[in-house]
Amino acid sequence: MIVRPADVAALKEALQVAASRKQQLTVDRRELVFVDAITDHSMTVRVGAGLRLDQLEIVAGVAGLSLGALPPEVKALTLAEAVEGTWRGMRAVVGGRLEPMCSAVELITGDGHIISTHAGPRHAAGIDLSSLVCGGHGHSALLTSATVRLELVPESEVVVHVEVRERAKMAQWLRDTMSAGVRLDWARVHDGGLDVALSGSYRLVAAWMSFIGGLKTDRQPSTDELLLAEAAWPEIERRIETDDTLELWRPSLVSCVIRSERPAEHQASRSPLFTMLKHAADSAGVLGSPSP
Amino acid sequence: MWPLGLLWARQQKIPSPADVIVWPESEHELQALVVVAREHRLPLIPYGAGSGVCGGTWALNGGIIVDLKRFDSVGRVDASSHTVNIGAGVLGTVVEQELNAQGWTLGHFPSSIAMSTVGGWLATRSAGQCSSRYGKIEDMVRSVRAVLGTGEVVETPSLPTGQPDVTQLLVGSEGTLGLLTSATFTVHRVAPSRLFMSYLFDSVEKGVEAIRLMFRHGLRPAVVRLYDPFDTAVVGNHSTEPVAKVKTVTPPSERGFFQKVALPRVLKAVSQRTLGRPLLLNALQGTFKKSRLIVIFEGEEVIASTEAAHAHDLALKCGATFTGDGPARDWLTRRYDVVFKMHRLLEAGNFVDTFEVAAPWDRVLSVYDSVRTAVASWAFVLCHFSHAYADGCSLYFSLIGSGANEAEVEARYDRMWSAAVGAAVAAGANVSHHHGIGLLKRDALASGLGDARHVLAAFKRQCDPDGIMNPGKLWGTT
Repeated sequence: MIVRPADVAALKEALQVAASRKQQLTVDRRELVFVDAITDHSMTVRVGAGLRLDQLEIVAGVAGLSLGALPPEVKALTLAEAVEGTWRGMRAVVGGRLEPMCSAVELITGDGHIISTHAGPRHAAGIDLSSLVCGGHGHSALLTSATVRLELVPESEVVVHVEVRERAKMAQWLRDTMSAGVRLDWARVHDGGLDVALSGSYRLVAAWMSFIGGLKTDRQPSTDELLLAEAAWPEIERRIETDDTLELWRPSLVSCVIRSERPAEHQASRSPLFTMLKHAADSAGVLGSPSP
Repeated sequence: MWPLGLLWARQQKIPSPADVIVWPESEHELQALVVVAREHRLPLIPYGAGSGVCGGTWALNGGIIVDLKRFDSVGRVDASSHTVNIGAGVLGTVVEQELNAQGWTLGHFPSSIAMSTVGGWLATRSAGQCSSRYGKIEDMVRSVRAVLGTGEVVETPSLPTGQPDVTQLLVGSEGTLGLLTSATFTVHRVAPSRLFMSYLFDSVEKGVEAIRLMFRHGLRPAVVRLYDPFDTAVVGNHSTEPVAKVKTVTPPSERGFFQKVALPRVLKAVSQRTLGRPLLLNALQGTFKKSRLIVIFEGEEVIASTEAAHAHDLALKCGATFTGDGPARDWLTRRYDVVFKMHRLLEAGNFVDTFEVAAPWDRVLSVYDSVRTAVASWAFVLCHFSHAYADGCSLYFSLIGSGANEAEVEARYDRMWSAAVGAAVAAGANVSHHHGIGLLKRDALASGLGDARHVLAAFKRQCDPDGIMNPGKLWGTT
């Protein structure tokens, strides 16, 4: 059964009908595309799950704000796809840390329960229920809307070429650079070294360039059709050694969004907690099960 | 360290204690313990070092306290992945000592660092004083291992692909799903340089605006703390010259007549006449004008100094007066002292507690005003702003009150809490930024859960079918 609900109430009704018929439901969220007024003070905006990120980027740009550097494939995703997919809706910040791109989510579980998390920078109020949707591929719950974190449109953007002739040392260079407090927008690996993009205030970018060394270049990321995936550092190290074309987007010390000619290799194992969560949120199996 | 518990202890009316305390040292032993607890329906209450201030480790109806301090391993740092595995029972100071010896830091420095454990940090979503740069504990953790209430040992994947990030389901669960045994964290090289700055503002509003602008412009100071005028006068008025002092606290058993009897009586009498009339004290707020901001940047010198210069310009733009590096250096020297000062106020018959929430920037000042107004009749209130992010920050209220007798003190404490939480939530804050929920904020959390209660209950049944894991805490019923 495929539905295209106009709002959350309609989606809830569809889930209940599917549960009563013991049918699986495929949900098209293209109607959930509202955009609230941007809260400039907090640099956040609440938007519907069906909104595409490139559309949100246009809205944010009017207010002098941005989602930050994202690969073209991610910008073409809806908010729901970005949050629920392999990318998990995480963004890298200064220091190589990852933080959720959404400060609050509204979701509906397979059992039809609507849950809203509190909009705020961080909390210590128990279990983080945004875990129901982040990276869940819509198998336990579906994102319906979220409060998205934005950042200032950068004053300065530069691409710097860095000589790291030995491929084996590139991964270490990238990690040490992030750990030192540099935020990298993207990095492209090639035999002659690394091209890395930096953006932010003039002064910050100048300081980062000074720390990194290297020279300005006008080389831009590839526009070729490349496969997008999130990968952890052991795999990134292997990719750096072997792939002819490899881009690392918004890298963090945990993982990177990579663009490559080859798909990422992920472990197939699933945590038992995932199964427990699935039973707790979608007891009738309306939202289907992930492929093994 | 739960303040209400300390009030109960002072009145010698502690609720029924735990039946047994155990010190397991392996997951195998924990699994055996779960089997016994399930068979006899005995509550299992995880325990780290007891610094929690929300009653999360109190035994409500007996049961088994599971002291996890024997899970005390600190692994070697994996330099290629910037990770380290640490046992749940390791004390914070030990974590830093062990990592520093290898040239690394976790970057997690809660005030309770000497008396809190890794497991406790994870269970309550703890934050350290350098969270603006290094993040809260949930930002640092990559995966956790736990023994669930089913007896099953689970380890969450460090990079969840094709499944929700289940690590974040155990982080913040306060022992209600299982017993955390170890976790893997991101670590950082020890910062090679540190820069200190301090400022005075004519108003809280200007100081808050300065912090907001710093984070809006992408700056990430390790420490940023703005004290409101009262807090500046009482706590934040640090010396402009750092003073290295070593203070010792005399244990009650070694105190003389003056310290043991006379001084507490005098302090109690003074407290009742001052802290017992908080409205009068709080009205004095208007006589204090200056708010102190301290800022510390750390990292590679070229980056830290650039960020510091940028932050300095933004502070001046908001009307700040630069007051040198002394207050920030002084704060760093004394940053853990406050934990050891609370006992004096308690011994004088008062209550003293702290209340920490977080709010988006557009709500921060209304939360500040609302909470202060709401508690003004019950407690003398101080506040500082810290743990800042691009989209908001934490407000940390210190609340001190008194009464004619123990019953009145406790009644005022209860009313103060109810007023504080209600006002904070109504003004747009959450119920906790980094102390957790425990018993203290359980009802406040539960009342805002809505449909989430059903999902949490179902998930709890999956992980803990017999309801033995820390019952009655977080959002659950006894």
